[in-house]
Amino acid sequence: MTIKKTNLRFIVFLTLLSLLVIPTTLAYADDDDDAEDIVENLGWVAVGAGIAANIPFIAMNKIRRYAIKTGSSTMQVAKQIRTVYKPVLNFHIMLNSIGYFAGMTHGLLLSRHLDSVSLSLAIVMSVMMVSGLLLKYTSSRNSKIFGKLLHGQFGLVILLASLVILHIVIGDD
Amino acid sequence: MKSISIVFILFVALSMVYIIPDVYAEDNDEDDREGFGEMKREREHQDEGIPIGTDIGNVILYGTIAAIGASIAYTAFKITSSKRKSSQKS
Repeated sequence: MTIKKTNLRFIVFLTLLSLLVIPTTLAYADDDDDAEDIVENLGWVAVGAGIAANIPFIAMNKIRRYAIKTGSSTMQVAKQIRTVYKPVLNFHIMLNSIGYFAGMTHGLLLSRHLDSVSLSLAIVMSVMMVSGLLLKYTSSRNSKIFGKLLHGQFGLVILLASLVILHIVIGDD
Repeated sequence: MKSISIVFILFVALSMVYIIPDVYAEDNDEDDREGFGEMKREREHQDEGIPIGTDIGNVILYGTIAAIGASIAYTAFKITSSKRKSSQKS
């Protein structure tokens, strides 16, 4: 029953996402300047969604870990954070998915200007997305651990952030 | 789980069907003039920041792929080593 519910939610989410993303790209495809603006804005949507999805989530996790480490006086804070963990996690997944698809649409529509930074960025984003999906949707213990370790790796996060900054700097020139 | 993956693949395939024609629809009628589109494209390629195939471009691309490979290998190593430890204990 729960699996069916999750599937239904996933299908509704993907349908809404496709309804949001595809018609906008199609509607402006004829008008060159407008189309380019829209496609560029999709990149900013991806950046904004990424920042909004990840900074609060990472901060919340850090605070929770710190509260658990420091002991009894801050345990109440950790407990309070635990109650909001699920909604914040869902928010993180939803915004990151929107950011990923917006970024990929931006990349595909501007594939004529493809450079090594964009390609590297697309690869890193895909790895993070796949590891997140692995973490969320697999039931096997090993793949869950693998997804968790890979998804939360600090090096990959730094690599992603630096590629995004490099891509923005190069795109502005 | 299977139905999720099928829906996901269908979604990606549907997106590709919609998006790929748009990528090629960007050419103007002006570009149909002989050689104009190609010249424009060449100019655009020259304007790019770090094109693929240049030294810096290759360093960035292969560096990223190497970093991803290393992190996947490190993760796999961590899992196998912890499994080995737990099996030795028991």
